[in-house]
Amino acid sequence: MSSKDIRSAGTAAAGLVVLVLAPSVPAEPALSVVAEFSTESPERIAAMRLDPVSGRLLLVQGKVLTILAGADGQAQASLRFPSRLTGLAIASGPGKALVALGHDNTLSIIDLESAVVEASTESPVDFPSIAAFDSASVTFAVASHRNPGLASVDPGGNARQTGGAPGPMVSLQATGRGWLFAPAAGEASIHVFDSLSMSELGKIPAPGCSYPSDLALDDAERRLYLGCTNGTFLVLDSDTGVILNRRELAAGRSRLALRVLEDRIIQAIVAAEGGKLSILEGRITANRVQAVHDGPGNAGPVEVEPETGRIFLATGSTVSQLTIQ
Amino acid sequence: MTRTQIQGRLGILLLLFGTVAGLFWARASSAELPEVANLAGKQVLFVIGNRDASEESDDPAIGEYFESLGLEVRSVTDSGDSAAPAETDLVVISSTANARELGDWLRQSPIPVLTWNAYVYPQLAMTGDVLHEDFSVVRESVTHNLNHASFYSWCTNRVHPIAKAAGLPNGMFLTLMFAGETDMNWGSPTAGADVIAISVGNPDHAAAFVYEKGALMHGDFAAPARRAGIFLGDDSFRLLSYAEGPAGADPKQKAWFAGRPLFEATLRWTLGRPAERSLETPQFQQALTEQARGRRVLFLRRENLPWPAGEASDAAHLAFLRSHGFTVDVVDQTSPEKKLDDYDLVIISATTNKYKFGTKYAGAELPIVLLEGKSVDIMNMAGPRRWTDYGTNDDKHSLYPPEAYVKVMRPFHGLAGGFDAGLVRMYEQPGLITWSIPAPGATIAATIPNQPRSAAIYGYEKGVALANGAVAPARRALFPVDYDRFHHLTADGLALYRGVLLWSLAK
Repeated sequence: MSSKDIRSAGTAAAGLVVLVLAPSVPAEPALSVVAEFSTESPERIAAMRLDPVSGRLLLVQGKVLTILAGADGQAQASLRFPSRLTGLAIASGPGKALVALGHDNTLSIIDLESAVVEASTESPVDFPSIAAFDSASVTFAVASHRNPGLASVDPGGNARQTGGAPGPMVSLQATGRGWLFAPAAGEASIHVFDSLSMSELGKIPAPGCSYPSDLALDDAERRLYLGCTNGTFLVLDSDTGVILNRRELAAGRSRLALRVLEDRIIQAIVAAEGGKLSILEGRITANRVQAVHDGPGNAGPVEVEPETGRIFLATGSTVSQLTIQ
Repeated sequence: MTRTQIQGRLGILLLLFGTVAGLFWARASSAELPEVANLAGKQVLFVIGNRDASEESDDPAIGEYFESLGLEVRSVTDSGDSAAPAETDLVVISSTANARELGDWLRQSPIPVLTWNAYVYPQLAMTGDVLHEDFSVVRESVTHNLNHASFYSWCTNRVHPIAKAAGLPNGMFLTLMFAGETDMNWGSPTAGADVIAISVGNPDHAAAFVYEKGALMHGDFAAPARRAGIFLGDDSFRLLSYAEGPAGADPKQKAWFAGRPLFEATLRWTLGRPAERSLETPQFQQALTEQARGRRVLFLRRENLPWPAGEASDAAHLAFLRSHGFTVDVVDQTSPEKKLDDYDLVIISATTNKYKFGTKYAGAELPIVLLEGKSVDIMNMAGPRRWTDYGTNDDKHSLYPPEAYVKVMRPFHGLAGGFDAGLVRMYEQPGLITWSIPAPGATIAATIPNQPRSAAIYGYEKGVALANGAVAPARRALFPVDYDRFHHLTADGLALYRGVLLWSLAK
């Protein structure tokens, strides 16, 4: 694995000069790729998570889980599994990760500190591929983008299933207050579940979204950010389902990440699979497009580091690190 | 009579009943809102501003929303082709339109209008034209928390068809989700308007108000069609509250997040069939006689009055009621409150005095017609401040002179006795007449001339928010006849009274 700078620090400095020389003319925010991290595996990065506590990136490529340093892309660990990995979630507090082996219907718990698989269990959901950690129940919630069902697995690897999702889901987000949000596959709506009982509490319509591709949650401001394959991007109030903003962004499957800045400024990063990366920003609700970056296409998962604002965009088997200038 | 004959006559009776019931239903349902499914194909002229792309506007979203309801929308700019084609069912004027550019072509238009452009309110005579007095647009305030306050409204009349359709309870609810600045508006309509919701708890600042066709608006201008004003700003449509998901399953939350339902219900009401006068004035006598049959009235008065004129007035009043066929029981004001199981109506004469009458019957779950206009406070029909919330036109204590006339504001309403909008001579001679400024949910049938805020004849539907935080336990009506004036009512005055009695008795 290697890392290399593809833009010099001088590029950033030049931008700074413009700001100094013409302070009354605000520079257009622009996204710059400052580094690229390539992995040894040629496989596409199917899932990526940033551990906000350690600043490490977890990448899922085929049967391999790679852990690398977000700052410089240095590989720290690599775990090989008997079948393809289909899902990934991080529990920063307990320092655990869950990987789903959909083809084996298996869920494995990994200790992030030691990078060791601590437990494996049979998945109560057929072909698990979506997961999120719920701090209210202190369990991982698991669902599938192919099959109905919702399950919970504790960090010790004990799984249980309840009624849960009536159909396939595309994403899971946990509030930590006992609610799970899951946009349905092929359905313009977001299902709401009780994370303790896994029972469905209701459904929030997302008209114009055909169909959901990813969901992000800002629970402090009670906002849901929903990306849709037709390019529609919705901001919803998570308590009521009110659609507060609607944008038409680049069509194609999109992946989302959120960052909270000072003074309740929210930044939403939307990566469309065609390569277009859009940054939306606004107070309380990220509703104004701040910057757009045209990448090479085939974009995959995206993550953002809360403290530094560094954006990690997976493209094929490569992770690009971007910053807003 | 053979079985066949009986069956034949029964069939005719059923047919007649069905016809009458059908007619009644048709009339009754006219007060309801058209279903969303019935809006399909309605033609809407949407008047918007000529904004550049940098200005925030929810007009496109509103246009799409209208289309989602099946409405056929034609958008025009304020400075463009503004005349509405004859087939237009509704004109909607956005706050983004420049009222100065619009002209006054809509003022006389027989096409219903829905607007959230506060500067259009005076142009359509929906309010006066003084900014921040008759209407206002709430600007972003210096105090951040003050902006938060403008997100709330208070429903004043939960039984109004709009409030019912929106699921609003009386009291506070959330109009907009908080997401930054807002530029809501309010209007201060005339007594001819139905106020559905008020802004920031101020009874003079209507957040949602409507005029029925024929209602008197500002400057005694009769609404040529339905007119509706609502609180939205340029870019607040998307922030209208509603409840989906788990919140939508909770009745309390559904009622709280009711901004969008209120907007939709107001739209539907504006597109609905206007109310019609059900009876002409001469028909009220016969109608009341039919209604009085078998009805029992509790008549509360001060007995053994020291003033012959007062005795004469109550005597004339009782004779009037009995002449229509009511059974009337007379009870002195100091008697303990009676059980009302056997009664259909309570009438409180102005020979009573709240000093002795107290709070009796204020909570009665039976319609009450109050003639003593100085007891409106104790009956929760107006606030407690004498000369502010209620008062008198007379020649003793008041700045307001004795009066013989009232001004009908709602000619279509039963409380108005079938009279056209405008002046009606109620008394033979000018004399004492009481006025009130009732709670916003009141239905004001008539005001005192030249005193547009002074309601003379008004009522509250059961369930409406009264003054002093109370809720009407049954219908309440005020008909202002002082202790010695009933026998000085004109024929028109008596006709107005018949309207009040009929409305109060109606189920």
